Amino acid sequence: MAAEAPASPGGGSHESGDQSPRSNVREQDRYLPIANISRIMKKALPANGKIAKDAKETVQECVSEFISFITSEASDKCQREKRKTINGDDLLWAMATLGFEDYIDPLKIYLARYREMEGDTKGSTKGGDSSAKKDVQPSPNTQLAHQGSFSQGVNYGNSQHAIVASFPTTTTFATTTASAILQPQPHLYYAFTAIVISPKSGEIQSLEKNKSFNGDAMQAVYPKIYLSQSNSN
Amino acid sequence: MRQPGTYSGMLSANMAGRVGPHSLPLARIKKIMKKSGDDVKMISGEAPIVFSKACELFIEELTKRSWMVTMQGKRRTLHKEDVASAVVATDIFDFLVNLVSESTTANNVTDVPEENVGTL
Repeated sequence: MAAEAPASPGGGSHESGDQSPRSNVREQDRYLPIANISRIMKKALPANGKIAKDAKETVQECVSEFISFITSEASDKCQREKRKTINGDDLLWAMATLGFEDYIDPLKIYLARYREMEGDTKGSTKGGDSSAKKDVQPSPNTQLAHQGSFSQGVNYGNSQHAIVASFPTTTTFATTTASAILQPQPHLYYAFTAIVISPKSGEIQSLEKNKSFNGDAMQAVYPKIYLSQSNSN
Repeated sequence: MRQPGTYSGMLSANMAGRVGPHSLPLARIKKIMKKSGDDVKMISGEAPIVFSKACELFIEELTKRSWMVTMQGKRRTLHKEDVASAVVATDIFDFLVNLVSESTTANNVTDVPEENVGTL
């Protein structure tokens, strides 16, 4: 295979002035950092997979093209509708229009989580009891770490769906051990926020705010429930 | 000479320090968005956040599809040509066809790049 083409003009398609690594000043504006791109690429490959530098650079260019492609479509829509600001929903719409409808659901979930975190930090910081919540960040891994730190010991590994639920402190539960799971009382009603986490990837699959269930229904819908510190009142 | 201050200065107040949880830098995403057209003037705070995740999905998909090409060639290292093949084989990546064919062409004929490079 066409070996690693030493000092190939990575940016050749754009500005092939010299053969040296592409000039950094320009990179800053045009592309996302190659280290971040590389990290995401590696995650998508099996452990023994290697990635040539030219492939990383190509993907780097493709990502910028992707951003421009979607943004242009969203921007056209805004112009048609005589709006000045491109917002997240415009981008979702543009992606759906341009064939990336598979991205919509994960993005909506991501956005919902982000909005909730934002809302929490803005809304309840004054309340003073949100120190734990403040650290929760909309990234799957940190999410787990942080949830874990203020949940009563959570073991995400072995369940189909893990639910992190916030309950009012006044409600009493039979939580015994760390990984244990709460047994909802059949005749009580519970209000909570449910986060369904895929056991494999750790990705959040869905998020349901302010669910209200009685114990029976809850057990039926959510096989396992983990209790987290209350932040609802 | 680029100082960190210049870069973080690009961040609006509520974005500052928010790079952490997202795997891609929001300010950079915003810059690239602004370059996509003259009519792109105002961008909501959420838009780069949507893109930070969308780009991640995009990179994953492109990488996985490229890797399939690598595997078909019984290789273990993903090369630019694999990315190019994956782009050509995938409908939703049509908008990248010029970009990848251009750079592979330029790569193959390093001596006379000008003649073979199409216009973008």
